Amino acid sequence: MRSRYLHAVLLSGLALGLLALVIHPGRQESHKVVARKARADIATPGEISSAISGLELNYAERLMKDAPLNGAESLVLRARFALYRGDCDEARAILSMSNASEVPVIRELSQLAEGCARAVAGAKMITDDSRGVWVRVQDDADAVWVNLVADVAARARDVTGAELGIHLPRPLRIELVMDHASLSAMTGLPLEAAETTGTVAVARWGRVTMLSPRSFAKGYPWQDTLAHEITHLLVTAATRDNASLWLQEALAKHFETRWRPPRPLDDVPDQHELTHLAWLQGRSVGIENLGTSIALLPSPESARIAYAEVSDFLDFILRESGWPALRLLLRDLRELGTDGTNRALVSVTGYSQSDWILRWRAALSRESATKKINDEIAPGLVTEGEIERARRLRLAELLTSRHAYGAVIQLLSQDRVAQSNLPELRATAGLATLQQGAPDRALEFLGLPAGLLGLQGNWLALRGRALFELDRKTEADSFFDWALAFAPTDERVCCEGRSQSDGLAENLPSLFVGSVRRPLCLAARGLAASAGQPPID
Amino acid sequence: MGFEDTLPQRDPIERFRSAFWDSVRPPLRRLTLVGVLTSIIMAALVSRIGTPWSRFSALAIVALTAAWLVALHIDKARHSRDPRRVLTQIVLASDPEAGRRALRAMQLHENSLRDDSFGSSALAERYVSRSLSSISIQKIESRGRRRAVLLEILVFIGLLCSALLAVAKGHRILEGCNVALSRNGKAPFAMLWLDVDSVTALPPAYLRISEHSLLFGSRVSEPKGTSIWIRGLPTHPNVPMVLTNGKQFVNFEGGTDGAMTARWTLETSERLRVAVRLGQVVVEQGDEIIVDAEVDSPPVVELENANRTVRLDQVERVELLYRASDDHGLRQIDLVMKSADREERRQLIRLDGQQTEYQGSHAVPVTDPFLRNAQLPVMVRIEARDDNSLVENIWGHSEWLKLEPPSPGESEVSRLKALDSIRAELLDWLAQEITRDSAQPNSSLADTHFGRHATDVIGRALTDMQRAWEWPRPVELLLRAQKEKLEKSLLNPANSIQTVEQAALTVDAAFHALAERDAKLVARSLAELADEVAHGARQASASEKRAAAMRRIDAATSSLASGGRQMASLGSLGADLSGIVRATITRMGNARKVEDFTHVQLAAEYLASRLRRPMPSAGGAQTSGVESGKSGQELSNRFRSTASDADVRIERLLWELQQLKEEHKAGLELLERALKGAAATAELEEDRALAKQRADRLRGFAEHLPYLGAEPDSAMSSQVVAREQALGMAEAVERLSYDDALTRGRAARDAVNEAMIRASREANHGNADEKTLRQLRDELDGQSQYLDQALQRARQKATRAAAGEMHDQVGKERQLASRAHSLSTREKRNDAVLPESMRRDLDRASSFMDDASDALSVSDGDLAFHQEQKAQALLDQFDEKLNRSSSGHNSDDPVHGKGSPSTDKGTVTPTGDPQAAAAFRRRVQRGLSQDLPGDLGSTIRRYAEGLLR
Repeated sequence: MRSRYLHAVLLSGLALGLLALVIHPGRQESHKVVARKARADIATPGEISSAISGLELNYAERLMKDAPLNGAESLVLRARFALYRGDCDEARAILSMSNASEVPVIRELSQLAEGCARAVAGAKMITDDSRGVWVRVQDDADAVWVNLVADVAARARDVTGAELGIHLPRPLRIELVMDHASLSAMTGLPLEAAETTGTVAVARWGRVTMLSPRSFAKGYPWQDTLAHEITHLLVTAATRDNASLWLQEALAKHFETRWRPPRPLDDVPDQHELTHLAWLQGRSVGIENLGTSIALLPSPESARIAYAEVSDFLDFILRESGWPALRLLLRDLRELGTDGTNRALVSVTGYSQSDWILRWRAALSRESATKKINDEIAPGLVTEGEIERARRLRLAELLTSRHAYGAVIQLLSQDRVAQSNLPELRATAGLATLQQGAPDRALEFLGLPAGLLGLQGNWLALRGRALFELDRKTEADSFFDWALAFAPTDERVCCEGRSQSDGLAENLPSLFVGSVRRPLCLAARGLAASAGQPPID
Repeated sequence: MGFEDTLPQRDPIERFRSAFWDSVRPPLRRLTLVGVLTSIIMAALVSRIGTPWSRFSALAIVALTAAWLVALHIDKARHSRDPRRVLTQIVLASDPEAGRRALRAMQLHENSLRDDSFGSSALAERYVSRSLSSISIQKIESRGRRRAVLLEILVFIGLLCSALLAVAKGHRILEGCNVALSRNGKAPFAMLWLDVDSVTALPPAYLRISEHSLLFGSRVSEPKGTSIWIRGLPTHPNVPMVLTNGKQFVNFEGGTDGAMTARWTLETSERLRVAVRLGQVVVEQGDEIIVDAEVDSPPVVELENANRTVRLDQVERVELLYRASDDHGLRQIDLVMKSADREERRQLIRLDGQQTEYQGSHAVPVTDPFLRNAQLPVMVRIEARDDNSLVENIWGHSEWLKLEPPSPGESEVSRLKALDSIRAELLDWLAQEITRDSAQPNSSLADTHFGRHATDVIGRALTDMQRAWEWPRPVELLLRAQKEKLEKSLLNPANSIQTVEQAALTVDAAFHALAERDAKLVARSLAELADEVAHGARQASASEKRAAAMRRIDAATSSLASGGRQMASLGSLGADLSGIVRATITRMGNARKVEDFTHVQLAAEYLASRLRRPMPSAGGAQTSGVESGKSGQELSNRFRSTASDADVRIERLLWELQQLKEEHKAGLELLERALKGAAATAELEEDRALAKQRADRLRGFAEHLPYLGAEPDSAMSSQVVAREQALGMAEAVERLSYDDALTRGRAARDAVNEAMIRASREANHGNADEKTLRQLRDELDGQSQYLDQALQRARQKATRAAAGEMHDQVGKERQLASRAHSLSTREKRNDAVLPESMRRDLDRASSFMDDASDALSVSDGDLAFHQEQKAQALLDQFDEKLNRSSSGHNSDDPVHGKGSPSTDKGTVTPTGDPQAAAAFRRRVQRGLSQDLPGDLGSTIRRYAEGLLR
């Protein structure tokens, strides 16, 4: 009995002691302290979003793992992250679980993910680990020239990155799509805007999405376009997407061609002349009127002027302040937020953006108006002469398709061709002459790049062929390579100026094809053969 | 050593026991047997209830009885020789005093043996002996005899009850025993329940087989659904008899004559036997009838050329020759067509159900809506149903016949190739001309071979009726215009190069426009195929439909690929979209290889939406402007579009002509309404009295003519007709219905002429009253002239009243004339797109419109109407085939089959064809617009106008 009483007393005392330990104020305090310390390590949604925007995807992934985000915020971040990695299926799956579709940003992302998933379902993905490039091709037939893409991308990234002092995380992701509809679906750029301005590539969502040159009858300068977009990614990475539009576009324009050796007509049109002319004619767009994207400007002409203006504006700042200031500007922008360009300019150069614009316009005004104000910078109505030229050109093309080369040459008589700056006219004449076995005369017809309005893959390939037939192989090689910079899927371009439709295949000498062009030529011919030869076009 | 063993007089105990039991034992044994028998009988009757409890209870009764008897026996065997027991149960009951004395002595003896203080055991033993010797054996025997009698009585009673039960319920006892021994619900021993009297089979009515008898105990075959009636007299009343196959039961029903009948409907082969259900136990009768069920097979259908493939672009119709047969009779034959998830069933013929064979044929034209709208192969077969009314929808069917539609774009490519060949001919000619011109400037054509060949090719392309497509109207007009110009240039070689250049560029423009248009049409067809693939991919995700879904995907993808290849030939847009199709099919294939149907679906949905917006891949601008380096592509594209705009101009011209035609038609209808209104309101300036006078005068002449008894085709019959018509005219005059009067008057006059002619040929001049006939004729002429003038005056008056309306139209008509003229003038240029013949028609139409305007200005409505009709007839030719489709896959107007008669050639108009009817109307109107020479001209005109009305 007594022992039991003693045991009960002892047990009660023990229980009270434990209770006291639990509710001691000091212990609660330390709990609070511990809790505060844990919250300080968790990233905010804004930090994660900035990391994603800055293409720091590995870092963003780590932050997201540690951050217990909920609800719509988490969905948006995870979906964005997936899109930046090019995983449209994952983004679609994440957003399909959402019942917050009335939230605009989620709705927008859902549409983007859905469009992207459709556009790339079943698409082939090619990774070049050595170059750190990842290319997804919507058309399997484009896989044959992905090596060229990766090469250009890596060079542009490395050269431009070195010059700007920026490192772009690997891999560099590139999407090659077939049409504007896919470009729009994968980037969110409105389809009508893309078609209106003729947009061919967009750097968005951490990737470069660009049209395959196959989409154009004669290709387009895809290499420079790719370099342009990669510059955008570099600037985005450097500034965490805080750079203003004019700075982005100016730098992209500036580094379009600087990653490679110079080519003919690199300086045509002269951006400064274009800017000055627009200024004189009252057609300026204005640095402050660019809107959210040059692709959303109302016409291709507005876009050209806008590009010229931002290029010229940047050149002006660089002349006044130098490259080191620009590099410093980019670093400063990283931490200043989306409206930081002005503050960064002030802190780095001492002048605000509007000050710079005023100074630049003053400089433009001071220049003498050597250009006629009536010079057209945009095509107006078609003239009679142009109509006649168009007729002749078309007839020449048609006669070429019938192998009536003599008639073509007659039609495009020497003086007409010599007067023309149209590459297609000269190319038609050149081809006819080449087919007649007169490469020297063909060279005369083809002319030099300086005399042309612009370069075209077809013209370059034919000039290369003429040079090759005159045994000037080194020069020929350069032209063949330049031709690939425009239309790496065109049969005549890939096959060094020859096409099966020329009708002389069996009589041609064995095709001299380097290691780059041979597979492209075979692929182009194979594709043409499987589709069947179309009627004349 | 036990007490019994020390008992001095064991023998007396045994004598006592024997004295009792010798009498009792026999009857007791008999009673035991009776008891067992009774318990068995009771148990059987309980068991007959048939439930598990009853059977358990029966078993318990028997078991308990047996156990009790066994226990009793054991007890008796163990204790019957116990002295105390003998003394207690036997001696004490027979001689109580002696018994008690004996028991006391035994007790004393036991005590003395246990304890010496009780006394001497020897003395106790002598006491026991004396006690036992005083017991009377006779009393024991007497009692035993009395007990035996009692037991005998019980035995008798027991036997009597058992016998009564056996007599009254003997069968039930047997039934109960049978039930008690049953296993799995079936009693082991068969018992007779029914004396089968008859077994009748009644097959289903649709088989038309009469009722017939069967032999119970035999094996027979009967059609499924046959009702089998078993009838007989029960051998034991009030038992629940059933007819069973071992699993199912049908109760026998009693009739008024005491017979029991059960009906069984045969669904499968059965072994039928009679049984009785006692609770849950079935006691079967030994015999049975085995009935094999004959299943009614579905009809057999054979289709000629089944399991083959027919290409729809190689035939005009699909002939289906079939033969159906059935073992009992055919009721209906259907045609079934299936394509993807569309299915259509059409009844071909309904039969009376008696015919067991039917042979027939059916033709499905390729223009059938189901075939015309098919993008995927169509499976066709014939199905037949027999008359089986018991089971619904038993259809027999033939093998499938596969109908392969032409690949989307096939006919479009064929047409474009024809246009391309024309272009090629022109280019070859142009090349020749350029080369010749450079070698011999300003020389005339030395060799027109190329030129003639080119114009021949164009001519053949325009007139070839054996193709499966038609030229769109704009293209046809362009080709005709170019052909005319080229033919002229062959005759007049000056400027031949420019003409051929122009022609080549025009055809080139037409080529591009047609290619683009066709590419868009084909793209939309291919979009539907892409939808099919997406559907199939969705289905494939549901595993139970995977096989069908895979087939659907494969079929649609194959057609899609084929159509994509065709589209590659449809100009630059076609080649562009073809690339999209090719690339997307590759992507779908990539996903399909790893059975990723979600991605197959996504890719197919992308393709469907892309093809529904058949724009060039790089937009209309075809520039590489924004986000790029150089914008070099805009250089030539803006020029390409201006090389020739003939396609745009012809479309615009046709649109303008359509507007002109419709506006003119509206004006014509307005004028017609105004004139009709004027005619309706035309008031005759006539007095009724005067009208009656003239009517009476006419009657006066007519009534002199005969009115009956005429042979047909005789002068007399013509006179009768003349009389009737003249009287009719008189009546109409009196009513002031002058139009009717004029009609009757003409008929009367014709009859008079006829009578006179016939009279001159017949004997006795046909008994014709020539004088009266002449007088009547003169009267008719006079009256008709008067009526005509009266009507004219009335119309003119009304027309003048309606002049206001007509004046409103003067300016409008003049304006339309001016527009027609300016369009015609525009098409006089070298680059005209309208054929010269049509341009001249347009000019003539303008001239008619001017004349109409002039007539309206002087309120001459009739003349204006006439001129406007002529103008409208010329304008109507411009829409005859406007916007007509080219291939069978177009959703526009229906396609003409190969070799179908053209309404242009004046063939008989098929009824129910509104377009052909409209063309016929136009031809008639055109004819009416011309002068109709000869005496019959007015008759023909009236007939034609009547037709139009």
